[in-house]
Amino acid sequence: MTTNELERLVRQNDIQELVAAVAELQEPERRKLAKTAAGLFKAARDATLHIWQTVARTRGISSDDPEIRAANAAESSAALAVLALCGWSEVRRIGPQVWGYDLSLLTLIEQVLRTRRPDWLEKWINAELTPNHAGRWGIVRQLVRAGGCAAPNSDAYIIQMIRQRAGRFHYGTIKITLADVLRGDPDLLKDEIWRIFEIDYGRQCVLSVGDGEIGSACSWGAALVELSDSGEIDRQRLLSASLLALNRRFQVNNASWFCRLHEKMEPTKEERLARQGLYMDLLSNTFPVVVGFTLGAVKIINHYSQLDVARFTEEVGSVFGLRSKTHPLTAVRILRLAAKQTPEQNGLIARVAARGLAHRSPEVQEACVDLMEAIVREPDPATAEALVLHASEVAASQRQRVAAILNRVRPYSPSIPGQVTAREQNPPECDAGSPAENRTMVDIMLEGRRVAEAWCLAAGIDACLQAIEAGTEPPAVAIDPLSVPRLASNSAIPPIETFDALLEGLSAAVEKLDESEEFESLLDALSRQADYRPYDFVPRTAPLLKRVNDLLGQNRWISEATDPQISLRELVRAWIQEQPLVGLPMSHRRVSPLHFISARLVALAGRLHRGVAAPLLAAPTHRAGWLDPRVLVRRLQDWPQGEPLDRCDLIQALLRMAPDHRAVALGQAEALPGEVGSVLRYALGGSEPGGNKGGHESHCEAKLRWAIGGSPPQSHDTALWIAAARARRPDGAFLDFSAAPETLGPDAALPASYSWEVGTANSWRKNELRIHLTAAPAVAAGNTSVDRPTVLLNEFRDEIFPFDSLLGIRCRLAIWPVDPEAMFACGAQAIASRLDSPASSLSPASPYFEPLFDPDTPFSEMAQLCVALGLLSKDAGARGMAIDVMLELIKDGRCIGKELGALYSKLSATKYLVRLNRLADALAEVARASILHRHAATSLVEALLASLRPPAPDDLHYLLTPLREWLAASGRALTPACNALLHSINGGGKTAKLAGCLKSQSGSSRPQTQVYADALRARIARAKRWQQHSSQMAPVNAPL
Amino acid sequence: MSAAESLAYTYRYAFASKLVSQGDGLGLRLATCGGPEANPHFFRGRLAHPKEIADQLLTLGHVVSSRFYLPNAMRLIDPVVTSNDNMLRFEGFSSCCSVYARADIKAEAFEIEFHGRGTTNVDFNSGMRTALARIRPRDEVHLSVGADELALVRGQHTVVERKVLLPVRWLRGFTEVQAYQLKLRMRYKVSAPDALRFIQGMPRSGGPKQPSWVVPIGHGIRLSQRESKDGVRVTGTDRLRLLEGLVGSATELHIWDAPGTGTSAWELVFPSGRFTLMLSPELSRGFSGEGQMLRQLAGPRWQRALLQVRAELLWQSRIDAPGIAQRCNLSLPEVQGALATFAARGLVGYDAAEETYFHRELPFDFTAVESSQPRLKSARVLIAGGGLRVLQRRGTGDAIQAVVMVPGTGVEHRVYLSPEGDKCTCPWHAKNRGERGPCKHVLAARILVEKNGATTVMAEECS
Repeated sequence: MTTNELERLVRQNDIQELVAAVAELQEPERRKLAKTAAGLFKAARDATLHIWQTVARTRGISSDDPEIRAANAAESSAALAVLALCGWSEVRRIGPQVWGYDLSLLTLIEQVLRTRRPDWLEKWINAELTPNHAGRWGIVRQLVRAGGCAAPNSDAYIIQMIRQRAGRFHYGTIKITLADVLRGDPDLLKDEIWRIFEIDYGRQCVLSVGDGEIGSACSWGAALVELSDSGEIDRQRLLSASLLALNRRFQVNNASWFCRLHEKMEPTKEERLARQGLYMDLLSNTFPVVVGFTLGAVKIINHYSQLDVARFTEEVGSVFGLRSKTHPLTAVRILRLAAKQTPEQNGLIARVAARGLAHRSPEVQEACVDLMEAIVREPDPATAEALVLHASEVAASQRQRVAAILNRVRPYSPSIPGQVTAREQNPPECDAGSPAENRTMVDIMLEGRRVAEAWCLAAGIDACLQAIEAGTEPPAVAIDPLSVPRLASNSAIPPIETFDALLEGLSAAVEKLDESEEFESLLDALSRQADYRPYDFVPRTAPLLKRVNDLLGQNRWISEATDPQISLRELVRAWIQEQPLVGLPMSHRRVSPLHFISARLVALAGRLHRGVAAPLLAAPTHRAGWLDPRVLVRRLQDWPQGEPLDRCDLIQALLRMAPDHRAVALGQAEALPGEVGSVLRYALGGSEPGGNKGGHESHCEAKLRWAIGGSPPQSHDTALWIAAARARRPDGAFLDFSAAPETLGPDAALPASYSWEVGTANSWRKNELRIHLTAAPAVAAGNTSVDRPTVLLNEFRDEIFPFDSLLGIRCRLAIWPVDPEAMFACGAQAIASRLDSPASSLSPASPYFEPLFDPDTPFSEMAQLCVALGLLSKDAGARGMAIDVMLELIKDGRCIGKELGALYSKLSATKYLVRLNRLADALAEVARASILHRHAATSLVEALLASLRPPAPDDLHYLLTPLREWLAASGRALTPACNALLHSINGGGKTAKLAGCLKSQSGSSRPQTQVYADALRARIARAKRWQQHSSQMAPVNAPL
Repeated sequence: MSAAESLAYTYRYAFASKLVSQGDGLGLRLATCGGPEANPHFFRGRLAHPKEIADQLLTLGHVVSSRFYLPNAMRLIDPVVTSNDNMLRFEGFSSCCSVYARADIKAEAFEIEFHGRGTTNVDFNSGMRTALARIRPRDEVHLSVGADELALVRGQHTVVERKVLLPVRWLRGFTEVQAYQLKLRMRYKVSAPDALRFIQGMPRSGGPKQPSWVVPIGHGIRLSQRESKDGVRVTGTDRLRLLEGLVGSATELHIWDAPGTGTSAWELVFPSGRFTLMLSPELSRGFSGEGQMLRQLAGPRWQRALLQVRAELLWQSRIDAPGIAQRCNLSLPEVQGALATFAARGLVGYDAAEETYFHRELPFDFTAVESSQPRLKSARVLIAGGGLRVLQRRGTGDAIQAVVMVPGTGVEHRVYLSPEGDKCTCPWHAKNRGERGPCKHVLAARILVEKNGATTVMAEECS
């Protein structure tokens, strides 16, 4: 064959003739033509690509398009020539998509390879069998059958056989069943199908995908059962293989398939009995599905009264190590039956039942205790030893029963080394006498009474003492955020001092930045070093500039409207290149708080461009965004003369002022001139210059009046005065300023108030529950004022995909640290929108909880909603953070549980919103921390039960189970308010049984002494901390 | 050689590992390949705790057959076993190199019939793992690592050959993990029931995307989302579920962390020994790419001690560094430095629980691995290019301080060398701040300054 002939055959798409022509060629001859073939293939591929692009541009791509079909055919011919003539380096470039689904072409491929038998055949086969390759198992199999190669011994060969239904596709009709395909290739029945049970699937889900769902025609399970029933494959071997395969413990869906196959074969009594040992081996399997399947089989064997009880008791212990309670409960039921049938084995059975006492579910423990009570009748040191070993894990509700059994099995065996009773292992929580009689408690109460009166009241010590004396619940600590010090000395933020440190910080920040404090510190350092340009500025900043340009040139998921890091990169570029900065576009979206941050950056960039160094007015001096008011005064006093103030930065500074040292700062600000001085003094609590409540309008009043449409005063900066008013009193209503203050929006002249309701998403995701939040007064439509951040924070958007970034959320939280209520509302909405979705990096929810770790942040209404939803979230990050927050809130007295109980009651009005299993799990975690936490969890559940109206929710047992344990552990009775709901639960189900137990639970209704002690200690610690911080009135030495 | 490059490697086992009937009990015959001989025979003994050891080997099997990042690119690479004087250690990595597992089985867990020394690969085939799952506590099981020639002839075994592309990063993981082991400190001891409760309580449907911290609560531990100084940082909590099948039979769980690195180690204690699972700082960061050993490999340090210490390595399970220092007339830091260098070359491993190195020579050619360290290789290319300029230089040895300009892509990077920590203006350093070892620019600067000293300083001083 000549190159011209080859070219002609390929160009004419005469593939039959091409294959026939190359069949006789020897390898050296093929190699001579290889270059031409490779060139033809490249040309064909380029032409195909060009045609696809042209067609896509002109008339839209369709597989029936004659031009596309012709191009594809040409490419296939050329690819076939490559396969027939070229080496591996060229062959590997042919993608799988070239061959399409033309069966005749696939047959030709097999023909070419069989006749050629190239040295790269093994590599080609391996490539065809790789998981990511839409391979052609059928071609490989045809080659094997035609003697073109040996059957591959790789696992991939079998995995692809399973996935491609043994090449069923190659038969060209969907009417043929998989069983018929296997019949048509008898060798598969001898070898390959048995390897299905032997190979390693790793973490790949191979067997269950589509098997059975598509239809029995292509189901492996159905095919194997059919072949087994017809005797074409060995049924006994298949039954055993399906069990042995389960020992491999590979991916759970594959394991599940083997279980289903085994049961589909409907083993007879004899077959099951013959495999009793194999079943027993599977009891220690780590997949619950396999254990469940095995227990089902064991139950059947036991039904025939032929269970090997000794072996079963030896193996079944590991079932109690499973997380779920279903299978351990089944195991106990089988043990109970076995005990009846073989009473001589009761000792063994009791010992294995003792292992169940370590299970996390009280239900399993109870079942084990029931069994032991029924079968343990005489002393048995071995059983006693097993009981003692697990006694420390026993749930509170079962401790007395376990102690009784223990006494029964060891009345005459005091010699068991190290044995203790269950009661000794778990002594009841001592609660002797009333708190007033408890010596430690008396000491704490005395300590509480010694705290200064003002702090005693503010920290809730008085209220707690009253509750102790009355035997009632200590109320939650209510905090006035402006009356307590917020500037802890250990939370001061050190400024960035040197140019090198600035460059290093910026280099790191353009790569990854999550903290708003770092963001502000870098802005502050840039602002201070605006006039510093060393002689080697350009070479020293060149790597940073290059990196920033690279990063800004990349495509990104998150826009600058979500992530301030992008704005920071642009600022850095503007700084190095001495250019001004353009702010965030506002064309297609409403204004967000990040536009306000962007406006600050634009102003800073302008000053950097002019080379005017000055401290950043709003740079926080302390963590969580707090700014020492004295520092702000000093910054304003030292502001460069003639340089206009960065207005948005000043607004931000006012909103960040801490409550500490305001009086001192007010004195220092006396001499500050102009409107800025007036604004600052007003924000610090000073009286308005010229203010006259007797009839004349104050300066501030004039500003606000003007802002709502009144006549303009002489000078006016509404946004500045709004910020000052909010800094002065976050929850203040400045009603006397104007006739229509609500027109300014929420948290302007009037404080925002929130309402919410549960609804569905306003989009195609209509089956998803959402929290619809409304802030009052409403944000004016079309609001584009970037300089009113308190208003902007109250804009809640119901987005389909709430993309956000950690930095974006934290920067918004740091805008108004004294009142994070709007951000909690935002967080509640974000969490609710993804309540049933797993954690996502694109929608982080955990930062919304962060302000609550500050013990002086009030546990307000929106914070409660945020935490309540967080505890219900499927997002492990949000849920974990909500649990962390709950632990802190309860510890420091801001949360007593009841408030959340009432909230859950309101949320429960919407079906499927409050998933009680998730809530129970979260509360169980909280209750582990201390007696105080357990008490709060109990109060929460009691408050929820008290406010729920019959009928009880279906999943109520999830909550009742831990409630029973908590009450038993603390020796308390259920509060009578819950009785209405519990009495409405009838029947013999799980919930009714638990309700019965709870109703019969006896004990005191007052909290335990330890609860009072912990609650009072926390309040005393809080008061002392406030007292200590407020006394630190030393002259300001914080950096400017 | 790029990070994704692989070495063609052939596992050639004399037979397939399997569990066979042996007398009244069972024989667990592990096939070996590589090391001091083609198919070494190290060990033969009866297991005192067969189920426990079988479970540990099974879990190790799960580790090596797992991949937590890009799960489809899984490659099964057999673990290695080291037979020391009183310990048998099985080590392996997940395919993504983000999990390192080691089963340390004490000599007391065996009735030893034959005990040799060495390190080799062991065949962990699927069938053998199936058989392991069927071992029961009361079974009589004899373990043999390798087989003598007589047994091979008698048994008519078939040679098992498996060609794999051994990722270079997988080999590097073995050396990098030692650097983290040196930094480990124990944080919590948790009882078995609490450990089981913790592992079972892990999030099932995708863990948190942000780092978590393991903190104490009540008697046990819990996973917190709040950063805690006292907590152990963990990411990719799915990885911990590898312990689920094993924790129920352990007596205690010890949790270790390497402060400031985000690496943690989870050590399950058994009567027969220990099983340690070590997690890399991030799911997407395998141990292989950490570069903690690069400085050790880059410099000519400990050169004097290397040969002498090498001669002292005699398959000890505890290497007595002070003893070696005394015998070789070296300082303790020199011996420790030499051992760290050997760790970087796969010649010793570190046992954090015992706070000592142990001798094991990985059966792979580490010269190729060492020379293919991408950052080290790039650093050498930079030096060969000759564009480095030393602006300032002060001090010697560990106290060296220098400013070096190193050519980068389109820009020149400023490298600061100092005892407090090296810095560079490149994006790698900016991203990792030295957490993942030095960048190529720092390495180049170090090699240049430490090797050539002041002779290469160009007279270009900054004011």
